[in-house]
Amino acid sequence: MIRRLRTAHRWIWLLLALLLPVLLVVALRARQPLPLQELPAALAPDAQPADDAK
Amino acid sequence: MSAGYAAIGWSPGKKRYDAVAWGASALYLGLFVGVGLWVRPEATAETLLIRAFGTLALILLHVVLAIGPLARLDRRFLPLLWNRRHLGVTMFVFALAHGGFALFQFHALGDRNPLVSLLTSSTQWGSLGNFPFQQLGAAALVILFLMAATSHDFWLANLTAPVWKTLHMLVYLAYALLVGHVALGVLQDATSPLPALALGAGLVTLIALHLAAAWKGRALDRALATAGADGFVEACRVGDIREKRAKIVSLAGERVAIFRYDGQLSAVSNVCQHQNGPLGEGRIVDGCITCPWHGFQYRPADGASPAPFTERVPTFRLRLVDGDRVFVDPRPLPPGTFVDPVVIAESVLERSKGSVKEEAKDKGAVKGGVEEGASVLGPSGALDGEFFVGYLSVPPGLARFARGVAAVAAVGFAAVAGVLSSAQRPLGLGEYAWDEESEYCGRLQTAPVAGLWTRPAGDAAASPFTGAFLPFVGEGKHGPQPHLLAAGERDLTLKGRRIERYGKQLIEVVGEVPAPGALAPAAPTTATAPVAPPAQVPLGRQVLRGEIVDSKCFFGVMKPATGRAHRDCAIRCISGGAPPAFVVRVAGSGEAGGAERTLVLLLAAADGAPLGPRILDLVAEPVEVSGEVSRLGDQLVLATDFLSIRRLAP
Repeated sequence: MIRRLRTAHRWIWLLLALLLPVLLVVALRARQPLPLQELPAALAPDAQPADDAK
Repeated sequence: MSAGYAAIGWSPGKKRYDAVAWGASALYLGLFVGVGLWVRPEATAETLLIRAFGTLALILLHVVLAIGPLARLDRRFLPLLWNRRHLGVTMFVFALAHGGFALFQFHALGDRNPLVSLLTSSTQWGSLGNFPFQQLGAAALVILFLMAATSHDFWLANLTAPVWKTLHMLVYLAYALLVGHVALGVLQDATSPLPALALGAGLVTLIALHLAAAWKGRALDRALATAGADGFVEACRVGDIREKRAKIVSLAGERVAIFRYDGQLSAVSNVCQHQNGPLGEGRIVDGCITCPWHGFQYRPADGASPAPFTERVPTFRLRLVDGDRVFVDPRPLPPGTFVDPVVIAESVLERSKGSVKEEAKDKGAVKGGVEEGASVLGPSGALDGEFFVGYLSVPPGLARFARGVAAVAAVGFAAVAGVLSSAQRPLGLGEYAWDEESEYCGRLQTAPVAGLWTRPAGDAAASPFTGAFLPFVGEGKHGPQPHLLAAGERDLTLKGRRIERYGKQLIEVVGEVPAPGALAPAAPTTATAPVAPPAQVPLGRQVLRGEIVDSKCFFGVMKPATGRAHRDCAIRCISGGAPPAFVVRVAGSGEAGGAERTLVLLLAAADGAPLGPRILDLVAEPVEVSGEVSRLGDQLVLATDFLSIRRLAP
């Protein structure tokens, strides 16, 4: 039983070693930042300096 | 060891261990919140606490998961393993605090049970960018709860160690869920690379430690040669085993520990009955095999714990050939079976002296966990003569090492708190006067957005409107009370709390708004013609790209009020009746010095039907909206319909 647990433990970490870095990279690549856009003249005066921009 | 159960078997060592864990955690929380308030003074306390508890729990989980392989790779870390369950429960407490605060912040006070909201608000399972990351965190929390609830020795003994260990291996699933929770949640909104780098570093470290420890252990599992005719297998030479220690060999799939002590040899299963610790990595202390993990003890000859304890491990028969070659029968005897120890001949003992490295340091009895003459680093990196037993005094070398680890942990926790807290993106400068009720006077308007044209209190007919239009929101995650709007447009006075951002205000209508028939009459009219509120000014059809948010949070109640982390709260608020808004990020022009600007429009339905319920699935992600834009006092309104909203990302 204990040997099976040890073997399972090794396989689990091998699986995690393969999957989690991929998940992290794929998730970071899936980020969707809001696009910046030019405003039409009618709306431009209403835009305010962003208070949450980096 | 204990013969019964106590809530916690406190010892000075455990108290010191817990004090370090809680001290480092308090330092982390204090620094995270303190640095957060310093670099982001606009941050609300609840946001900082949610982030501080969540990151702390994840860091502690990394520590918990690192202790096992560290102890296998370097025995000096064994004292950390001894009380690891306390660290695990501590981690769960912080994870629960994170989950509890987040559940209240994002899901409570709305139109659904918070737990139902948690499970049903986000359902885009096929989208990575909009994946329901909160459900991943909730699933991990359930697993961590199961583990914390069964962490006590009562469950360990009653479930049996193999079942208990199998159950607790779910922690790896919880870890994977939490990596997903963070990667698909907060990292989607982070503007600094530091949080992603921190998670990546933790992930790589854990994977490297576990794979290295597995590689090291793999060599031990290589089975010895086939048994001879009598079934015995040659295991090692007497000289391979150091006094009061064991040689571990793999037989028929299981590990056997052959101990040498007082000129004799005995063999027992390598698996401690308490938590399946490696007995062969232990020592003989006070005549008993002592497990390196938690100090459970067994007599070498019969594998039974001394009274009053009842644990027993299987024993194995041994034979010496040519006086020096150790043979073991791979067939285990029932736990607790007495086997005569094999006596080593004097001549062999003499020969074996010096054949074992560092043997000279192992002379003498163990006193208080410290073997006499111990102070030299051995090949494993551990202080070879020292052996840690939790209920005995800590050997000085190991105590020094533990103090060093605690100091490194404290500095590391402080550094990570500072780095992660300072990496938070700006949260916006909205204001919410949650502790201040004001009286608002003006004319109620119900369409295209329900709100109030304000004017100074006094003669309703004579007082001019200020030009400000203040949309209504209700308390919690709700819109204004239905009967406030039911009687249609009229002059009235009501109480509310101010919510303000970018110079525009919302009113959170508070208290019981009187039913229309019972409304106090507006200020007396005069004979002059009534003053009309400003007219709605059309600005033409526009196509804009941005993000749908709920106006209440965006104008100041919540920080942050945009992005994936806030998505479920925005869904709950819009579902509850708060007017949706549309936020457009505008590229800076030369006139604005290149700085990014923001345009905020209230979203209204072009067809008159409520828009909110139909757009819940499109909240907090980049979308393109086409519709008629108009000016309503100081507000902009974008009237659109569901079919005119297009998701930008697949």
